[in-house]
Amino acid sequence: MRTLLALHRRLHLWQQKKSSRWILSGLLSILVLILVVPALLSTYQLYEDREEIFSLLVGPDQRIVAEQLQETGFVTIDGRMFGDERLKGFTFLTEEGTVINPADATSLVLSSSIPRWIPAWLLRDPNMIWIAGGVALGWCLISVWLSLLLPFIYSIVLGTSSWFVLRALGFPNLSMVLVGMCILGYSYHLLLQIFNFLFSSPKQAFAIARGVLLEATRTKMSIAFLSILLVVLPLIPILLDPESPLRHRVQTMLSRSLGATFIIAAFLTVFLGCATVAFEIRDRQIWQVLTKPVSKFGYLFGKWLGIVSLNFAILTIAGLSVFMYMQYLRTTPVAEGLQGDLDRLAVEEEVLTARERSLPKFEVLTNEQVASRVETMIDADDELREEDQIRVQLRQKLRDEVQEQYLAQQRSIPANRDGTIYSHTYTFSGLQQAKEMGTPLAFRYKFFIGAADEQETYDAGFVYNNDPATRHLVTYVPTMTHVTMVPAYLITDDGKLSITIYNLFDPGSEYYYKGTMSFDKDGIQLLYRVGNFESNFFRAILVLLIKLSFLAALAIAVSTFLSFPVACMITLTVFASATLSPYLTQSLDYYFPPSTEDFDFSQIGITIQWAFESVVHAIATAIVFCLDGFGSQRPATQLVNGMLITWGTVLKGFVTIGVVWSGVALAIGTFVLRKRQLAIYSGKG
Amino acid sequence: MAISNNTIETVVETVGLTKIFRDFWMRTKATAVDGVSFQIQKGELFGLLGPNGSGKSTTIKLILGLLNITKGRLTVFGREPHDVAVKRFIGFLPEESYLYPYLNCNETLDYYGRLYGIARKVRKRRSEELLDMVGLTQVAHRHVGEFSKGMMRRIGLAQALMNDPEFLILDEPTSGLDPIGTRQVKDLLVELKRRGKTILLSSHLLADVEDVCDRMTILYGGKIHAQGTADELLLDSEHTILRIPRIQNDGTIEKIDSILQANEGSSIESVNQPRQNLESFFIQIVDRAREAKIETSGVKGGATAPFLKGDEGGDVLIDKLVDQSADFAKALEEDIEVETEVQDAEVLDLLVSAEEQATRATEATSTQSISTDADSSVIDSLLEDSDDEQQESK
Repeated sequence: MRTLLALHRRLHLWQQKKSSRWILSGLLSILVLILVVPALLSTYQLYEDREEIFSLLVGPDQRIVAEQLQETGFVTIDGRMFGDERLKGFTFLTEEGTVINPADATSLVLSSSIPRWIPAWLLRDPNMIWIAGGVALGWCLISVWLSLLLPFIYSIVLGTSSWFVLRALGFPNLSMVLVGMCILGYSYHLLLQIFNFLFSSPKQAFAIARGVLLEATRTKMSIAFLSILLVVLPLIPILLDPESPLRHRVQTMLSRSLGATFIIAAFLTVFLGCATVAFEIRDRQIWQVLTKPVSKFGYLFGKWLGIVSLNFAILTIAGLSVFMYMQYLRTTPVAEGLQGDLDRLAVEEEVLTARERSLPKFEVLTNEQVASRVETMIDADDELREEDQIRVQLRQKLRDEVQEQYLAQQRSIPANRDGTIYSHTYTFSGLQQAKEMGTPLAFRYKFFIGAADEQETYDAGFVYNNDPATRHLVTYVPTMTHVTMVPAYLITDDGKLSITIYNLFDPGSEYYYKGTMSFDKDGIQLLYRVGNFESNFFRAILVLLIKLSFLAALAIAVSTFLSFPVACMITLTVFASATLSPYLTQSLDYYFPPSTEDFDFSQIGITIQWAFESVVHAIATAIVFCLDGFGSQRPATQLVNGMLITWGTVLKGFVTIGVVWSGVALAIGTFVLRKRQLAIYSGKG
Repeated sequence: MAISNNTIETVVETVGLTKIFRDFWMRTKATAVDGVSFQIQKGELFGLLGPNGSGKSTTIKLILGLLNITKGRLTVFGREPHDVAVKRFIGFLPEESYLYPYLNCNETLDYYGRLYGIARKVRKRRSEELLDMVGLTQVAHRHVGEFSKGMMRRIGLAQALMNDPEFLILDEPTSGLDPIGTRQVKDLLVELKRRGKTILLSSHLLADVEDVCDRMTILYGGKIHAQGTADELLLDSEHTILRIPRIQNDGTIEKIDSILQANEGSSIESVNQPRQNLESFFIQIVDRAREAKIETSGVKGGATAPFLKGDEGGDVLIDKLVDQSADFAKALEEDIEVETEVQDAEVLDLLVSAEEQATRATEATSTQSISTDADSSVIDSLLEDSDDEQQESK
């Protein structure tokens, strides 16, 4: 033990020498280059070969090449042989003499040339090798120059020894978890050291931010949350069901890992944000801080900056590990045959992508039309007709009903009656980008059909742009979401696509009451790729960081005038309300306190109920008004559904939540701190 | 950094300062400070005396802006106490050291140094010197949360001195310190005063205040009951003490008594054998033990940090000069008048040779021994007075 300690001390001193740093930087750079350069060369060579073989298989000599492959299993290009013994006798040509599927044929020919030592997820895209190499090199160099050689070595030793020992003992999953924990733990430490370095300037706010980072790494509460995160994240992948479809695994992984990271980071933010200010006021350390040349705002801003930096570190390590694991997961084997192909296609086209959504445009009634229909309704109702004056509220309710009915009508298609097939045409606009991209659009639909059994299937027909040549039949299960692909060339030059939906169900005379096909407001939608998963993922992480930054500002602000437990409770309540505000918005659509005209105020019970419900409604409305912006930003859900998170969304979130809301919270905190007499508190708990 | 001698001679000025603590319903709970008026001049060592609950700490908190004034006027360097700009010149040691338990000594001093905006090199040097001064170098890497009260006071004192403050506020600085630490604090105060620093010392240990303060205020019930210099308040004009070698012959005393009766019309009231005070005796014992290199696990305080004596050389000095120029520019922006001449003088002072500093240090030590040795100073002043009288009579 003594020898180890002596060695530790020696290494510690050695790593701090400039010459040692240069030597280590050189060695590690060479090591990274030894791994990255051959990988890059092999990958680029593979891509070149792929292009050459593909061009041969679609070119004028495709027949000759395909026959050569069928006869020998090999093809020679520029003196180099590609192929495999096992391809001998394989059918590559159609009866017309063209190659059946040039892309797949190319992959088959190249399969034996793929370098097995490079992970498949890196081979998918040479840019990934550049990124991975850059990250590894940066990681090594920063470790050396921030004197982190020892934690670096210890992490490697611990990780590799756990890997071998646990595998030998028959716990491969646990070995992966421990290696993951070592990598995450070291990366977290590294990021905090980088922040310490960045905050080394003698600016008061930076000094305070640095203090918060130290507090986060040395106080039990923060360490507990961080430990949970470092254990939970590597555990999620091993809890995935390997038998389930790849799409399901990818979506579960994304949803659980980002969800867990956000929740743990949010709780850490709330508790640390409240503790760092409330405890400092309680224990009077603030006396010795605010009697230095530190402004009240500078003090709170420093605290906020520290917590945001901590969140940045957490989201970076969590984001990087999830991202890397997604790259690995997308290349894992799927089920054999068509089912597997469709599964992989769904992963690439519906999850690991960034899609925009387009909804059809529905007609709305003009004010005059609505008024006329309302009058007709009143005339048709005996009670209403006898009223001298229809109340304004009731009239508005009727107007809403009329408009809603008209929209619902447009979303309904009657069943076959007496040989007549009913249909409705829906127009989607603003699809120029999808047309430019040229990738197929996903038409997603979820139909309902009267009182139909969910186990039954029904038929419907689609025709695009009223062109009978594009018609095709689909079979659907009511209440379930289905997807059909639409070629991008069908979009008109002005970016429009109309889809006519035919209800092909014939209920017959026996079931005349059922058979009308209908769908919700967003029951039919066109989804099209406008970006890639990588940048979408990055934006999702940014949005999460922005949300956490507001939470930090809120926790800090309330702690300036509340004790730790109360401040935590208030912040968590706001957090929960903000997160649930979209559901609250929906609830408010159906929750109204009874109108005062409907009951007798002399009845105390009813009056109390009315007052209670009015207060609840007012509070809920205020919460929705104030916090809906927070709850409506759901980057993890969007990512799981492969939906685009635009830079506009990020910017809007940054300005509203990150700057305005956080700014207001910090301004309130500053105001309170200025007014508050800090030395008046005499209790110690 | 020096603040203009011309414009800000008065560091603290209070006029009718009142602080009333109220409860939630705004009913008066206590009047902690009641119409207090005093001034602390630049370069003065001012004592705030009083029993517990007399309003000393409340006055200090008002000066630091940690409490709001109920009535009256209070300025620090001519500004509102809440003004952040003046905090750059203040060092503060509260009655208890409220430090972060998860930081070690080095990190604690580095943190507070950063809050003062001190450059890295200067921070490092000062931290080392201060830790040496307060005797915590051996435990520099231990977390403050593990410290005893005395060690906490020491690190608290070190943080208060990180910025080499123009105005140092010490609330009960010697509480929890052993006699050696107490003596070091007193030596430090004398050293800082020599450099023209202003010090506000609050204590209920009267000997501490009497030994070092120029002027003092005695508070009771939030009100000033006495104020003035130590001589004004303590001089016993009715008696005279003669310090002479031990009288072996009892007849000598009778002769002196008869001379007194003949010349002054009074007689000797008492004759005592003087004895050394316990503090001096204790310090002698410890000094001897240190010379004998007897091992101890306790703190071993060193001499006053060189930078507090104005002794910062080489690159640190350059950094400090850069800092000072930056501070100077900042202070100008913030409308605090800074007298360049004074700063130049201080820079020159900092640049004096090691020999000169050594000489000055020797002088300072001798001055210190005179000022702390009450008996000899009384005799010296008596001699001076008698010389003056002789000259006047001639």
